[in-house]
Amino acid sequence: MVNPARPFEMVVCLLALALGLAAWFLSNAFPRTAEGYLGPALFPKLLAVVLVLASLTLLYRNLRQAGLGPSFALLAWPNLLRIGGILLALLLAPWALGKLGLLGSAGLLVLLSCLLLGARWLEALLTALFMVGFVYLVFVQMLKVPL
Amino acid sequence: MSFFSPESFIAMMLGALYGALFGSLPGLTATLAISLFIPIALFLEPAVAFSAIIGITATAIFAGDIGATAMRIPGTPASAAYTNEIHQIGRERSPGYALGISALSSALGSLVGVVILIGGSLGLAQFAKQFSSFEYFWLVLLGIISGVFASPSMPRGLIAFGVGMLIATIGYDPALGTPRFHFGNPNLLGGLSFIVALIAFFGVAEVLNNIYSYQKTPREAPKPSPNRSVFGEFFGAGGRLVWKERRLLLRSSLLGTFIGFLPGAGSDLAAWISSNFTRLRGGSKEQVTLSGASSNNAAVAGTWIPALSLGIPGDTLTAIVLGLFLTMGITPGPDLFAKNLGLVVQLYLAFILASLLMMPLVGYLGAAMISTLLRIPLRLLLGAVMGLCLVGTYAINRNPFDLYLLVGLGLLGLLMQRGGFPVGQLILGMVLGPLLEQYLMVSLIKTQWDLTAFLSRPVAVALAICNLLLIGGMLWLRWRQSRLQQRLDEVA
Repeated sequence: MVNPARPFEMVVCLLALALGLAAWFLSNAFPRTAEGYLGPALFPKLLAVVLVLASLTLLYRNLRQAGLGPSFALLAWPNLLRIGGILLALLLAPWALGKLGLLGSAGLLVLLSCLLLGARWLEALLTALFMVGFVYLVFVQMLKVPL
Repeated sequence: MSFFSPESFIAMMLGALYGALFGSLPGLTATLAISLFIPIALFLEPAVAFSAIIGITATAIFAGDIGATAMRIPGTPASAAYTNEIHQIGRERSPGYALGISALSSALGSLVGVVILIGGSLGLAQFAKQFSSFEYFWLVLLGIISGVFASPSMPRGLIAFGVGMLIATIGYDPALGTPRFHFGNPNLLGGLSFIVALIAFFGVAEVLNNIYSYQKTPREAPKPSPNRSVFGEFFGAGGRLVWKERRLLLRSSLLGTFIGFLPGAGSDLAAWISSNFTRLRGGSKEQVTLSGASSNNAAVAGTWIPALSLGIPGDTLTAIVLGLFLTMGITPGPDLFAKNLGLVVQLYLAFILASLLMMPLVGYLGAAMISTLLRIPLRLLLGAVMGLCLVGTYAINRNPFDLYLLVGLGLLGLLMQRGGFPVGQLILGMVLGPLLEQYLMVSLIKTQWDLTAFLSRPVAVALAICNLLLIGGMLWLRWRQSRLQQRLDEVA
């Protein structure tokens, strides 16, 4: 049986590998200490070694066990699209903040998230209104935080 | 304001109910509960904020048993260790009885942990007054090593810690003050906000993870409890069993506190080890549940021992709380006992109050309202949590950049969760990384890069040996756990 976590594991391994390599090369630009030692670059370089070695080990294990099979076909694409929709809504939040304020933007995000999760219009709307009321009560009324 | 003011008491009560809600609902976790509460806590008096946090931590872990009892879906990873047993008890006798065993043993386990916390942290803080950067370096390394070993696999743990520690290197370095990895963006000069990272990794990523595995099929409705009084089953029958098994409870609680004390191990590991030992000895369903529940709640108190006395978090929850301590200008460690002894004493008393009162009370309420709690549709809860993530992130600094960060880190958290990487270790890495670097660099600079100085003081040598013993011990424990699992599989 093919492991459904495999595509994500591979992506994280490649990401960790890239982060490790980037940390190694970018930290070359950091100044050395007066005695000529690594200084601020030492710790990132140590982490880079750890990340590169650990990700290569995991990638090797993974490829040895399952090869380069079409594991991306195992992904739950409809749910990934929902996730994409929610992330897009979050990315647009800074723009919405200027137009609707924090409470309005949060309410809109709740509404969109509930709808993307398959909620009915009315229950999504009620949840958004409840959330806005809750945030107003807690932050504005009780904690006196201007939103 | 004292911990025993009406405000603090109400905060603890509300915190306990809020923690129970998050703990009991599958998909919502104790770390999510704390992460979403942090932006509110920042605006509260420390005593009120910490009362609420103790209320949340006291009940959120225990409340994982509510979902396990009703639907065989553990609310927290710790409850997964004995889900089959507690669910069977609930079906065969009554949910009140199952939750009575769980809540009362959790309360007593937590109390044992708190007693050890009081003695242990005071003693450790006194001892730690002699520590220099060398001893702290070995101690922090001890925390990282045990966190790596507590992960599903070593490479996964190393990647999670590595990514967390690398994220924490963004901004000014802790020893020499050189700005690193800021790419000319002034928002990155001060480093990534710990609170935003928390909300991203435990809020956004958790919601996205739930969406990824979301199915529109309705949950199985909980079965109505038999015609027995919930009160009698919960306190009467449950209490009698706990009293009968008091030796097992004490043993499991001591084991749980010890495991909780090891940085990075946490309550999940405590519950698994403790319940597996009881299973292996042929224990009944009730005994397995009791040992798992008492052990995981004792571990919660155990995690606070290194956190308070050394400033080193025992698990993700204490890592979050330490972040809050620092944000409020309170430095954990030996100095905490010298400068804020009143706060420490009140924390202890709040823990005792939460164990004795909140757990049984919230447990009883949970048993009485189990059906209602579990009927809240997940699609609405997740939507509301998303809105709270947005508000919590923006309310702290009112900086739109934090929202982009929220998306990026939330996506990273999702990838890591789905790929089986422990996100908790990533957060621990974000806390322990700067400490490790600071103690490493300070030690190197003051000895002019003489590495032998790390072994020049007796306590430092003892701690270095502890690191080696920990590596050996953890390898042995892993081997033993896999043997136990094999034997259990053969029995099944």
